[in-house]
Amino acid sequence: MAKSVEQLAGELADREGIRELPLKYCDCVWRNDMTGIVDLFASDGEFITKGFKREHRASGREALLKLYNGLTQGELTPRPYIHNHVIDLAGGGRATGRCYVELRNLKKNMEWVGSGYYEDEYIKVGDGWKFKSRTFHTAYMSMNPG
Amino acid sequence: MPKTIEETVNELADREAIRELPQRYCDCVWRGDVDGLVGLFADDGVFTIIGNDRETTNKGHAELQKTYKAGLATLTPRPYIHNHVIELTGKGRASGRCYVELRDASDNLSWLGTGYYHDEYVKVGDRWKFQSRRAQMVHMEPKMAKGTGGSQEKK
Repeated sequence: MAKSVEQLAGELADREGIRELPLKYCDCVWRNDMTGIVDLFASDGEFITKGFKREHRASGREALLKLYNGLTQGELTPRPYIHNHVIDLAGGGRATGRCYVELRNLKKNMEWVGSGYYEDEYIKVGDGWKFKSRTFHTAYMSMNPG
Repeated sequence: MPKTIEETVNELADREAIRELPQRYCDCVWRGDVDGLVGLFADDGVFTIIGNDRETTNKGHAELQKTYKAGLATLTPRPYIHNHVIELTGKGRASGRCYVELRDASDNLSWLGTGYYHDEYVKVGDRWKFQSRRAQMVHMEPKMAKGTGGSQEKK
Protein backbone atom coordinates (compact mmCIF):
# COMPACT_ATOMS: atom_id res chain seq x y z
CA MET A 1 0.00 0.00 0.00
CA ALA A 2 1.29 3.43 -0.93
CA LYS A 3 2.35 5.66 1.93
CA SER A 4 0.12 8.62 2.81
CA VAL A 5 1.37 12.18 2.48
CA GLU A 6 1.59 12.36 6.27
CA GLN A 7 3.73 9.20 6.42
CA LEU A 8 6.02 10.44 3.63
CA ALA A 9 6.40 13.87 5.26
CA GLY A 10 7.14 12.27 8.64
CA GLU A 11 9.80 10.01 7.12
CA LEU A 12 11.38 12.87 5.21
CA ALA A 13 11.56 14.96 8.39
CA ASP A 14 13.11 12.02 10.26
CA ARG A 15 15.68 11.43 7.54
CA GLU A 16 16.56 15.12 7.42
CA GLY A 17 16.95 15.22 11.21
CA ILE A 18 19.21 12.17 11.11
CA ARG A 19 21.19 13.36 8.07
CA GLU A 20 22.14 16.47 9.96
CA LEU A 21 23.63 14.64 12.95
CA PRO A 22 26.96 13.60 11.34
CA LEU A 23 27.17 17.01 9.64
CA LYS A 24 26.74 18.84 12.94
CA TYR A 25 29.24 16.44 14.52
CA CYS A 26 31.89 17.45 11.96
CA ASP A 27 30.95 21.11 12.34
CA CYS A 28 31.44 20.85 16.12
CA VAL A 29 34.82 19.13 15.69
CA TRP A 30 35.96 21.88 13.32
CA ARG A 31 34.90 24.57 15.81
CA ASN A 32 36.30 22.69 18.86
CA ASP A 33 32.78 22.76 20.34
CA MET A 34 33.08 19.69 22.55
CA THR A 35 29.88 20.40 24.52
CA GLY A 36 28.10 20.69 21.18
CA ILE A 37 29.35 17.24 20.18
CA VAL A 38 28.17 15.68 23.42
CA ASP A 39 24.75 17.35 23.03
CA LEU A 40 24.31 15.38 19.80
CA PHE A 41 24.26 12.15 21.85
CA ALA A 42 21.41 10.75 23.96
CA SER A 43 22.10 11.04 27.69
CA ASP A 44 23.26 7.40 27.73
CA GLY A 45 24.89 7.68 24.31
CA GLU A 46 28.11 5.84 23.50
CA PHE A 47 31.15 6.45 21.32
CA ILE A 48 33.21 3.40 20.45
CA THR A 49 36.44 3.41 18.47
CA LYS A 50 37.58 0.23 16.77
CA GLY A 51 41.15 0.36 15.56
CA PHE A 52 43.26 -2.50 14.32
CA LYS A 53 44.64 -3.32 17.77
CA ARG A 54 42.28 -1.93 20.39
CA GLU A 55 38.75 -0.85 21.20
CA HIS A 56 37.80 2.11 23.34
CA ARG A 57 34.34 2.91 24.66
CA ALA A 58 32.97 6.09 26.27
CA SER A 59 29.42 5.97 27.64
CA GLY A 60 27.32 8.83 28.99
CA ARG A 61 27.84 12.59 28.94
CA GLU A 62 30.71 12.76 31.43
CA ALA A 63 32.82 10.14 29.69
CA LEU A 64 32.06 11.60 26.27
CA LEU A 65 33.05 15.11 27.35
CA LYS A 66 36.30 13.77 28.78
CA LEU A 67 37.01 11.90 25.55
CA TYR A 68 36.29 14.84 23.25
CA ASN A 69 38.16 17.34 25.44
CA GLY A 70 41.25 15.20 24.82
CA LEU A 71 40.73 15.22 21.07
CA THR A 72 43.18 18.02 20.24
CA GLN A 73 45.83 17.39 22.89
CA GLY A 74 48.15 15.19 20.81
CA GLU A 75 49.87 15.72 17.48
CA LEU A 76 46.56 15.47 15.65
CA THR A 77 43.91 18.19 15.56
CA PRO A 78 41.37 16.47 13.32
CA ARG A 79 39.40 18.28 10.64
CA PRO A 80 36.78 15.84 9.32
CA TYR A 81 34.88 15.65 6.03
CA ILE A 82 31.85 13.37 5.94
CA HIS A 83 30.65 11.37 2.95
CA ASN A 84 28.30 8.61 1.77
CA HIS A 85 25.69 8.73 4.55
CA VAL A 86 23.11 5.94 4.30
CA ILE A 87 20.14 5.76 6.66
CA ASP A 88 17.70 2.97 7.50
CA LEU A 89 14.63 3.98 9.48
CA ALA A 90 13.68 1.15 11.82
CA GLY A 91 10.43 2.60 13.23
CA GLY A 92 9.55 3.38 16.81
CA GLY A 93 11.94 6.33 16.91
CA ARG A 94 14.96 4.23 15.99
CA ALA A 95 17.25 4.18 12.98
CA THR A 96 20.68 3.04 11.91
CA GLY A 97 23.18 4.37 9.41
CA ARG A 98 26.72 4.43 8.12
CA CYS A 99 28.84 7.32 6.95
CA TYR A 100 32.41 7.67 5.82
CA VAL A 101 34.95 10.22 6.97
CA GLU A 102 38.25 11.62 5.79
CA LEU A 103 40.46 13.36 8.34
CA ARG A 104 42.98 16.12 7.82
CA ASN A 105 45.31 17.50 10.47
CA LEU A 106 45.17 21.20 11.33
CA LYS A 107 48.49 20.91 13.17
CA LYS A 108 50.26 19.77 9.98
CA ASN A 109 49.00 22.09 7.26
CA MET A 110 45.82 20.08 6.81
CA GLU A 111 47.76 17.00 5.73
CA TRP A 112 45.47 14.02 4.88
CA VAL A 113 45.83 11.57 7.77
CA GLY A 114 43.30 8.85 7.14
CA SER A 115 39.81 7.58 6.66
CA GLY A 116 37.25 5.27 8.14
CA TYR A 117 33.55 4.94 8.76
CA TYR A 118 30.97 5.27 11.49
CA GLU A 119 28.30 2.69 12.27
CA ASP A 120 25.59 4.77 13.91
CA GLU A 121 22.47 4.06 15.91
CA TYR A 122 20.01 6.94 16.14
CA ILE A 123 17.19 7.53 18.59
CA LYS A 124 14.41 10.09 18.64
CA VAL A 125 14.40 12.05 21.89
CA GLY A 126 11.39 14.36 22.08
CA ASP A 127 11.16 16.05 18.66
CA GLY A 128 14.83 15.62 17.75
CA TRP A 129 17.18 12.83 16.75
CA LYS A 130 20.32 11.95 18.72
CA PHE A 131 23.16 9.48 18.43
CA LYS A 132 22.39 6.41 20.53
CA SER A 133 25.83 5.13 19.63
CA ARG A 134 28.66 5.84 17.19
CA THR A 135 31.22 3.16 16.42
CA PHE A 136 34.23 4.37 14.49
CA HIS A 137 36.05 1.83 12.35
CA THR A 138 39.49 2.82 11.14
CA ALA A 139 40.24 2.01 7.49
CA TYR A 140 43.64 3.68 7.53
CA MET A 141 45.35 6.23 9.81
CA SER A 142 48.85 7.54 9.26
CA MET A 143 48.97 8.55 12.92
CA ASN A 144 47.26 7.62 16.17
CA PRO A 145 44.33 9.94 16.96
CA GLY A 146 45.27 9.66 20.64
CA MET B 1 -0.14 26.63 -11.11
CA PRO B 2 1.61 26.04 -7.78
CA LYS B 3 2.18 22.46 -6.75
CA THR B 4 -0.11 20.90 -4.17
CA ILE B 5 1.30 19.79 -0.84
CA GLU B 6 0.88 16.19 -1.99
CA GLU B 7 2.87 16.81 -5.20
CA THR B 8 5.58 18.64 -3.27
CA VAL B 9 5.91 15.90 -0.65
CA ASN B 10 6.02 13.20 -3.33
CA GLU B 11 8.74 15.07 -5.22
CA LEU B 12 10.75 15.49 -2.03
CA ALA B 13 10.40 11.77 -1.30
CA ASP B 14 11.53 10.94 -4.86
CA ARG B 15 14.55 13.25 -4.58
CA GLU B 16 15.49 11.81 -1.18
CA ALA B 17 15.34 8.23 -2.50
CA ILE B 18 17.37 9.16 -5.59
CA ARG B 19 19.91 11.08 -3.52
CA GLU B 20 20.55 7.94 -1.51
CA LEU B 21 21.32 5.73 -4.53
CA PRO B 22 24.92 6.96 -5.12
CA GLN B 23 25.50 7.01 -1.36
CA ARG B 24 24.42 3.37 -1.08
CA TYR B 25 26.49 2.54 -4.15
CA CYS B 26 29.59 3.87 -2.34
CA ASP B 27 28.60 2.12 0.90
CA CYS B 28 28.32 -1.19 -0.99
CA VAL B 29 31.70 -0.68 -2.68
CA TRP B 30 33.36 0.04 0.68
CA ARG B 31 31.84 -3.12 2.16
CA GLY B 32 32.48 -5.29 -0.90
CA ASP B 33 28.74 -5.97 -1.12
CA VAL B 34 28.39 -6.97 -4.78
CA ASP B 35 24.79 -8.23 -4.39
CA GLY B 36 23.86 -4.92 -2.77
CA LEU B 37 25.48 -2.99 -5.64
CA VAL B 38 23.71 -4.96 -8.33
CA GLY B 39 20.40 -4.63 -6.46
CA LEU B 40 20.61 -0.84 -6.87
CA PHE B 41 20.17 -1.29 -10.65
CA ALA B 42 16.97 -2.06 -12.54
CA ASP B 43 16.85 -5.59 -13.96
CA ASP B 44 18.05 -4.26 -17.33
CA GLY B 45 20.33 -1.63 -15.72
CA VAL B 46 23.49 -0.59 -17.51
CA PHE B 47 26.94 0.39 -16.24
CA THR B 48 29.39 2.01 -18.64
CA ILE B 49 32.95 3.21 -18.21
CA ILE B 50 33.82 5.82 -20.83
CA GLY B 51 37.23 7.10 -21.87
CA ASN B 52 39.64 8.10 -24.59
CA ASP B 53 40.37 4.77 -26.01
CA ARG B 54 37.38 2.64 -25.18
CA GLU B 55 33.92 2.38 -23.69
CA THR B 56 32.97 -0.69 -21.71
CA THR B 57 29.31 -1.46 -21.08
CA ASN B 58 27.64 -4.14 -18.96
CA LYS B 59 23.89 -4.69 -18.99
CA GLY B 60 21.63 -6.70 -16.70
CA HIS B 61 22.23 -8.18 -13.28
CA ALA B 62 24.29 -11.16 -14.43
CA GLU B 63 26.83 -9.03 -16.30
CA LEU B 64 26.91 -6.42 -13.55
CA GLN B 65 27.52 -9.08 -10.92
CA LYS B 66 30.48 -10.46 -12.87
CA THR B 67 31.98 -7.02 -13.56
CA TYR B 68 31.67 -5.67 -10.04
CA LYS B 69 33.01 -8.86 -8.49
CA ALA B 70 36.10 -8.72 -10.71
CA GLY B 71 36.51 -4.94 -10.37
CA LEU B 72 36.36 -4.90 -6.58
CA ALA B 73 38.82 -7.78 -6.37
CA THR B 74 41.31 -6.04 -8.66
CA LEU B 75 41.24 -2.47 -7.42
CA THR B 76 39.82 -2.42 -3.84
CA PRO B 77 38.52 1.13 -4.42
CA ARG B 78 37.13 3.25 -1.59
CA PRO B 79 34.85 5.94 -3.05
CA TYR B 80 33.63 9.27 -1.67
CA ILE B 81 30.72 10.89 -3.48
CA HIS B 82 30.17 14.64 -3.98
CA ASN B 83 28.06 17.25 -5.76
CA HIS B 84 24.99 15.20 -6.61
CA VAL B 85 22.48 17.07 -8.78
CA ILE B 86 19.09 15.57 -9.67
CA GLU B 87 16.49 16.42 -12.31
CA LEU B 88 13.08 14.80 -12.03
CA THR B 89 11.70 14.30 -15.52
CA GLY B 90 8.30 12.81 -14.61
CA LYS B 91 6.64 9.43 -15.10
CA GLY B 92 9.03 7.67 -12.76
CA ARG B 93 12.16 8.88 -14.51
CA ALA B 94 14.99 11.18 -13.46
CA SER B 95 18.58 11.95 -14.31
CA GLY B 96 21.56 13.23 -12.36
CA ARG B 97 25.28 13.71 -12.09
CA CYS B 98 27.60 13.16 -9.16
CA TYR B 99 31.33 13.34 -8.67
CA VAL B 100 33.58 10.77 -7.06
CA GLU B 101 37.03 10.50 -5.53
CA LEU B 102 38.60 7.08 -5.16
CA ARG B 103 41.22 5.79 -2.74
CA ASP B 104 42.91 2.40 -2.63
CA ALA B 105 42.32 0.12 0.37
CA SER B 106 45.23 -2.10 -0.61
CA ASP B 107 47.73 0.79 -0.49
CA ASN B 108 47.10 2.79 2.72
CA LEU B 109 44.14 4.50 1.09
CA SER B 110 46.36 6.28 -1.41
CA TRP B 111 44.50 8.44 -3.95
CA LEU B 112 43.42 6.54 -7.08
CA GLY B 113 41.67 9.23 -9.05
CA THR B 114 38.49 11.17 -9.64
CA GLY B 115 35.67 11.46 -12.14
CA TYR B 116 31.92 11.72 -12.41
CA TYR B 117 28.84 9.65 -13.10
CA HIS B 118 26.02 10.54 -15.43
CA ASP B 119 23.03 8.65 -14.08
CA GLU B 120 19.56 7.77 -15.31
CA TYR B 121 17.11 6.74 -12.59
CA VAL B 122 13.88 4.79 -12.88
CA LYS B 123 11.13 4.09 -10.33
CA VAL B 124 10.49 0.35 -10.04
CA GLY B 125 7.42 -0.26 -7.85
CA ASP B 126 7.94 2.14 -4.97
CA ARG B 127 11.75 2.13 -5.20
CA TRP B 128 14.17 4.14 -7.30
CA LYS B 129 16.95 2.30 -9.16
CA PHE B 130 19.77 3.08 -11.52
CA GLN B 131 18.61 2.61 -15.10
CA SER B 132 22.13 3.46 -16.18
CA ARG B 133 25.43 4.78 -14.80
CA ARG B 134 28.06 6.20 -17.12
CA ALA B 135 31.37 6.65 -15.33
CA GLN B 136 33.76 9.18 -16.83
CA MET B 137 37.16 9.22 -15.20
CA VAL B 138 38.87 12.62 -15.26
CA HIS B 139 42.16 11.54 -13.73
CA MET B 140 43.49 8.13 -12.75
CA GLU B 141 46.71 7.21 -11.03
CA PRO B 142 48.67 4.55 -12.98
CA LYS B 143 47.35 1.61 -10.94
CA MET B 144 43.75 2.51 -11.68
CA ALA B 145 44.39 3.34 -15.32
CA LYS B 146 45.84 -0.14 -15.71
CA GLY B 147 42.90 -1.75 -13.91
CA THR B 148 40.28 0.00 -16.07
CA GLY B 149 42.10 -0.12 -19.37
CA GLY B 150 43.19 3.52 -19.26
CA SER B 151 39.78 5.05 -19.85
CA GLN B 152 40.13 8.64 -18.74
CA GLU B 153 38.79 11.90 -20.10
CA LYS B 154 40.77 13.77 -22.75
CA LYS B 155 42.68 16.76 -21.37
